[in-house]
Amino acid sequence: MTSEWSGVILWILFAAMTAFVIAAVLRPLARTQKRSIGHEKDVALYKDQLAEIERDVTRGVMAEADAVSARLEVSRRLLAADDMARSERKESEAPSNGSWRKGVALATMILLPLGTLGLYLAEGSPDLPDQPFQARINAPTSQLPVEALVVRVEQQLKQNPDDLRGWEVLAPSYVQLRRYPDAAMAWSRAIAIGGETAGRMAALGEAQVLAANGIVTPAARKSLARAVELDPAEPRAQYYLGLADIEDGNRDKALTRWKKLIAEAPKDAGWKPGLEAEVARLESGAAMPVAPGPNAADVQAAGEMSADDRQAMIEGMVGRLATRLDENPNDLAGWLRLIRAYGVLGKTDEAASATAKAVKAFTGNDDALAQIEAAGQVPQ
Amino acid sequence: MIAEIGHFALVLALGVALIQMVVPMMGAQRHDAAMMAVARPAALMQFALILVAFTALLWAFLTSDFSVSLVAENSHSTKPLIYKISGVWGNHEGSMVLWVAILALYGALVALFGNNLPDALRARVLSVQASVGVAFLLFILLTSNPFLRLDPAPFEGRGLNPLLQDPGLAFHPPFLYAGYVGLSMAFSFACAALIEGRLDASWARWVRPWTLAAWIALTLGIAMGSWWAYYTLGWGGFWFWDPVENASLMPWIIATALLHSAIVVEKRDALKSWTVLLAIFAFSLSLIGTFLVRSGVLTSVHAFAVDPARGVFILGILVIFIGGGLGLYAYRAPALKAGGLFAPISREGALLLNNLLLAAACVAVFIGTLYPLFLDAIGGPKITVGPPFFNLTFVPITLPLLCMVPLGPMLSWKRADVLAAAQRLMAAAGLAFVAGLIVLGFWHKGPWLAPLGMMLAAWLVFGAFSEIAYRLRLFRIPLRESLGKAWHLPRAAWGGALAHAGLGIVLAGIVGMTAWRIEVVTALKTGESTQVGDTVLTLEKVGLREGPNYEATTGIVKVEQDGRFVAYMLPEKRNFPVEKQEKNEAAIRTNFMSDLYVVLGENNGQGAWTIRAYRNYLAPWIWIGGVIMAFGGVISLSDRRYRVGAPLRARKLRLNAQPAE
Repeated sequence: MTSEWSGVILWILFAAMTAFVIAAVLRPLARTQKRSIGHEKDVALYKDQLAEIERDVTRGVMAEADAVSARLEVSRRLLAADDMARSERKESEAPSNGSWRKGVALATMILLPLGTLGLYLAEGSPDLPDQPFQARINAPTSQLPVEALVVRVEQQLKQNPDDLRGWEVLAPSYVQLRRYPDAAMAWSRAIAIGGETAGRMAALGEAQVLAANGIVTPAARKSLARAVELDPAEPRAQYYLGLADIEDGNRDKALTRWKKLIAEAPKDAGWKPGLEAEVARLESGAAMPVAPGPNAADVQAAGEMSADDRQAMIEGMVGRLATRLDENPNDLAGWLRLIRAYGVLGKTDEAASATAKAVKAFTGNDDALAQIEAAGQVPQ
Repeated sequence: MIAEIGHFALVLALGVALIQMVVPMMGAQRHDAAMMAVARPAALMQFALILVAFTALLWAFLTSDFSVSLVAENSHSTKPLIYKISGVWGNHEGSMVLWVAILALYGALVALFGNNLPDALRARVLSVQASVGVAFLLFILLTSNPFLRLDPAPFEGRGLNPLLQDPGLAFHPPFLYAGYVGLSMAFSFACAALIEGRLDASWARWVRPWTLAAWIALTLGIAMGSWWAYYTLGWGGFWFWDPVENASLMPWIIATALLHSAIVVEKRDALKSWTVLLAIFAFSLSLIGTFLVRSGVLTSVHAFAVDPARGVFILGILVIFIGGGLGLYAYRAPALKAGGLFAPISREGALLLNNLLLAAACVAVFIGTLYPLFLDAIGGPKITVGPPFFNLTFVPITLPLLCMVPLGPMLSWKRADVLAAAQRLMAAAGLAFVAGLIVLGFWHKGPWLAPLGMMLAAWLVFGAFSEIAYRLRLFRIPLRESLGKAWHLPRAAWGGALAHAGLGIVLAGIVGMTAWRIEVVTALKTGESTQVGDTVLTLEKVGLREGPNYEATTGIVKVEQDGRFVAYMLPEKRNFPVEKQEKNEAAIRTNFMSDLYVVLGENNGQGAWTIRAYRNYLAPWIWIGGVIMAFGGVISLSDRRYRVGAPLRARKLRLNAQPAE
């Protein structure tokens, strides 16, 4: 069925539904109705109640003396209802006015379709076909976007979880989709299957950094350190370890690391010019890439900015971290990063207040308090 | 295409609801039978259309059609089938569609089975019912449309909150909604009666089955919700006085009061005005409950302000229906004829006292639930009202009520002899006392209130039995005759007794659970053991297990009693990668007298796992009792007296009128 045809069918269906509903709802207006009288039903009920009193008496729930008065009461109601029923019957014999019914019918036939159509078209998408998952996933590969390919590889890996190549294809796609924690997970699986190599460990470390909004977490450091152990010239690992040094307030160590990396790099390494620029900036004493961007693109963007803009961006990131910690103060690693970042940026007041907040959040936890204190002293 | 058909059907349903709201009411006011008759097909059509919309939404969830925005946000292609289904109402928009679907279902039921109602009353009832439908359909279409589409559609959905991926929670909203919405019937009947200016014994008889149906659904819904909280929140509590729970408890309390006061209206033509007021309040609390849970007011008043369109709409609906209902009441209630008088000591007097206590209990819950929200809204300090508040208010109010429960059914109408009624309950009181002593004998080290609580529970259960025994004249006439009587006893009497006994069983469960639970929290390495009461738990192994859409860390715990192997229990920690959330799955082993409840906690980094284990005495009774109460409701609902009123039927009954039961 072509989509044009399905559009036509859809509108025919809408029209049929509307016509059917109008016909069903208006049908009673076309016929003369016999009306049952409300109070006639009361009469039936009270008669049943009288019988119930008798049952209550024989069962012993009601004393005979009470039953006499109860009977009297129900009988009184019964008579009243009977009276009402009679007068109602007279009333209902009066002929009713047909013009009202015609008005109602006409109004319904005009307003119901118009109103429904108007409200439906305001938000409906009659041209959009259904897109069930199975049909989409089975479409030819060339027509699928990256996220669909990811889903397909995921499905294949579910069937065959030891497919090393699958994981190695999947992980960079995750990074591309900015699904960093998934990327880290995929690299871990690849490492579990194919063993540790410098490249995989560095990629894992990078994914971990990106997943933590650009902060080099202890887990990431571990992965990166392992990568460097396997291959000291692994550039990605060295780069992120440099960032870790800066996070710790250890700018000189980072410089040494990166300079050595540049010196030993092959001439045509694509990343060399960028890193050289980074080193130059760091040496000139400009603001440092603490708490780098939430993703690689942002880090790169920061590199292309003016010093002022970069400062603003970094402060924005630190600010976001601070807000997050105010909402969720139980994040020790976060506090440590924040305090160090304030120290590196030279904001001693903020550093002090962050330290105070962190101390408050971890009162009673001596181990954490010692770490907080240590973090507060690094920049001085 | 199917999604669009659902969308169109929902819009069309709004049109039909508008017709159903206006035309039958006009007909009733003008005594035009044809216009009144429009109510029936309109109610049926409205239900059919909403059913089409609901089915279309269900289809979108089942086929993971992520071009429907709601599906993309709340589902995922790997989710197991039942959570694709329950995902339909696991979100704001879908739950509102379920809400109106049930609302329309009740309307359709009145249209189909309301033959015993006078035409004018039925027309007005369906009209008021349709006005609720109009409000909610407008709310859905204007602020929470479930059929909005995405183009281009994302390839994968975002998944469903793992807490909701659970059979107990998946299927309790439909019950809860059936209860909430069922109370709209009581509201519609009350408004119709007020508009008509006619409220009598027959009205009570007509409104009661609908209230009863709603009450049954609400009872089951609350029981399921509490059961879910028990096994899923990981520490075995069963009731948290959480606002979401309170939101369902309040309409339940008022519905219970309404059930009892409707008996007085029906039998004695008294308490009419009060009963109408209860009907209005019951539905008002349902509305508040629905919106408290669904609007985000509970998480924070500020979340409410994030989406002002929705918030203002909700406030509007609340004001129109609660204000409108109460306004109508203030305007018309004085015109209602006052019914017969009665002595304070009588069945109706006892029912009135029951109503007053229930209303007071509801007020206590209401204050405890809404006062913190109110303070927050006016910028006051953030406070939380926890169990201590409810223990000091709700419990003292309900205790005298519970003491009275067995007495009520023993009193006769109009004027009662308390002494005679008390004598009939001597046996029950004696048995309850003995039960208390036995409990004291076994648990003399426990809290001193526990035996008293168990005594009260036993009093409720035995009291319910005594009522039946008294009615059957058990032990006073030959057993065979008694059994013969049992068959002819009105089902409502059986139902009432069952519900009261169920209440006693719930109470026993609550007492057992709060007074005697044993709790052990420890860290175990694999191979190590701990002791919970007389049970020895050994953590044999901890491993990974792959679920359909989660990875579970599963502990294998060996259970031994008196050195004898009993079973393996498998507490789990499930990690849902799509939703990036973790969920604890407690292992529970029950023998219906007590539960053994084991939770696997975190690894402490030194090879040991935190294990929390509980022995919860009588815990299953809480839910068994709830089910018994609901079952009592079902029995009572099947009582033939709800089917009389139709002249034909009544005539037949008189013909076969059997001499007594």
